[in-house]
Amino acid sequence: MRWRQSVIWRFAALVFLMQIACVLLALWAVHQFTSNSVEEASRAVAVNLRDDIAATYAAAGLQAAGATVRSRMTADPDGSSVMLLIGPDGQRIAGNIPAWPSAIGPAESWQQLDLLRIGQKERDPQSIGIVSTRFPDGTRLLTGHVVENDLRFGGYLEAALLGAVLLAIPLAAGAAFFSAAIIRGRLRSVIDTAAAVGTGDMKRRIILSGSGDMFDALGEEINAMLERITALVDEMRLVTDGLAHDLRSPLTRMRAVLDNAVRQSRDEESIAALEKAQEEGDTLLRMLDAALLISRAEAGIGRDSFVAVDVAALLQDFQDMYDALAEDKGVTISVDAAPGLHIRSHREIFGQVLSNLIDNALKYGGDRIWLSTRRSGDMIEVSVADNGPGIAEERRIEALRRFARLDASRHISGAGLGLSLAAAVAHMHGGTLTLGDAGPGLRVMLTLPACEAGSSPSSLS
Amino acid sequence: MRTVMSYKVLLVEDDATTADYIAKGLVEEGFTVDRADNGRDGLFLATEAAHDAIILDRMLPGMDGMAVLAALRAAGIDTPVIILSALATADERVRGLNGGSDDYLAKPFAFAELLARLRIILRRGGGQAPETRLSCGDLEVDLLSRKVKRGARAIDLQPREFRLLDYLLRHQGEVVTRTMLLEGVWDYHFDPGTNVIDVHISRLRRKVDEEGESPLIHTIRGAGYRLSEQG
Repeated sequence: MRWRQSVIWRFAALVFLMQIACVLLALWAVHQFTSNSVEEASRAVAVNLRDDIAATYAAAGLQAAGATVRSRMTADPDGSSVMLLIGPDGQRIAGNIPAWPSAIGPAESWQQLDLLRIGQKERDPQSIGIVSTRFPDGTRLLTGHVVENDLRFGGYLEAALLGAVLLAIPLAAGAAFFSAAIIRGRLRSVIDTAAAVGTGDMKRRIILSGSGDMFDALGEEINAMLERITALVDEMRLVTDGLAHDLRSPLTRMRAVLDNAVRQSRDEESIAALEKAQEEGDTLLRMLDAALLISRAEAGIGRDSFVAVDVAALLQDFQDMYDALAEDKGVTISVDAAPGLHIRSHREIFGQVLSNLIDNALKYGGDRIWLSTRRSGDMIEVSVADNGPGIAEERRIEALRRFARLDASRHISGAGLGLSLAAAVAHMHGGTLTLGDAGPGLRVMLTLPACEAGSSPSSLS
Repeated sequence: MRTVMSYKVLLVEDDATTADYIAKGLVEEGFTVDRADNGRDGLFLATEAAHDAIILDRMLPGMDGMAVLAALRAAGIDTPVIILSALATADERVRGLNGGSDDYLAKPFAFAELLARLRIILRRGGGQAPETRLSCGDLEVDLLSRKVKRGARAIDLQPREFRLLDYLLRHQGEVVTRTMLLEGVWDYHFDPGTNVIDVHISRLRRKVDEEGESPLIHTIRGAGYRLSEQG
């Protein structure tokens, strides 16, 4: 469960980080572009101004350049330009700042500093971007442009961008949460459906959203697979029902004929023979039933009628049922069952399994049989153990095969199916069957999923 | 034993051999038997004539046995029904009983088993008051104090022996089969396959029928047991 969650939450974290990264990148780009272009504009004004004055100076000399400076000052009514022309002898020719600022070198490509201009409306020094040029004869020219407003705009822009980032964080978190929730929801329905089908609800299907996305495609594929499985299980049900019917009908007639013959016969020997024939018919039927039950259990047929069954009560029932028979054979049956353990099961089918296992233990075991159950994590272990010779480890797999009979001399009817039935029923419950060493003896252990009691009525006894 | 002359049974079974076998046996036991070999006729007869019980096969031509049963119950006819079926799995049995039948017997079956079960569902209709004492001959059982006496001799029984005896007493004079005892005493319906029940009965018998007393628990060959004063 945890790893499934963590994959989704890792995905959510990724969505969140990607979104934040995208926002930061976009805002950084906006910031860079805007501040660069604003600065470029101010700088272009300063450079153009310098170029004009420098051209005049080169063409017509210092006094003409001074005139240009003055004319430019008058042509700049909002006072956003800064100019200063200093002659080769250090004399101030023209300009709107009082003196050459000490922080400005003779050849600055672009530098910002706070200056007080002559005749400016504002009282405080303003931020000004400055370009300075030194001509070969020592004449120095300073041109610049007020960038105070640009900087203020930049400040507003940064505040706005920070605001955007702060707003983006909860939005990205929300987007990540919802995308994770959507994926979780869509996967949840797949998981729930698979689990429901696994526990026997063969009619459950994944609900498609109709959007035709990948989840729908997955759902469709799984639904198609479930249809196929359901069809196979139905077919199996039909075949086993048909087989049961077809074989039971002649057995029923045989039973009828033998029954009549027993009633009409007066000869003890004939009656004994007829009864033997009836017994063999019953054995045949029992084996047929067991074989069919195994096939049906393997296909999971009958899981829809599972209810909560109290395992300890079941084991007590079987001790009660079998201990008289066991005592006659000199065998003691003991129960070691923790109370309150429940499995989802069919009492009859599970009872049939226990009956077979106890029968086997009585036939092949020693003088003790232990029925026990205990919880092991989410599973419940149900064991039937004896202190007989057991089954050698290398032969245990063989022992689970249908109609396997390890000892050729064991001519006890129907014994070949007990263990494979138990294994099939364990699988039907979503559990496993293991053959182990009871030291000495055989321990047959069914490990079955636990369930909480109370969902449905348990055993009736 | 009570008279069965008045009992009229409807047998719905398509397999002629099996139907003959059941009908013959029932007639020998004094029942009147109506027969139908398909579901439609069976349903028709069941709604027309008043029967005391219906023996209904599940897989029938024309109309499935379960459908016949559903139609009967829907029409408010609550004649007791025993389903006979080749579908013998535990869940099919549950389905049959949930479908409104009074008992469910898997094929193949011994006639004695069918007869014993038929007698039980016929008697069930009688409506009995809850009993506090049961007896058979000089055997007396007090259900409240759980004391058992044979004449003056007190019998000490284990709880399951008591339940066995209780079941036999409630069906005294009738044949009860091993599977019926497994159902009645332990509430399991599978075939135990071994002589689990026989051992319990022989223990009970040792306590109930002592040397010199006339035996009350009788073994019925090929069928089961009967508790009665007569052999």
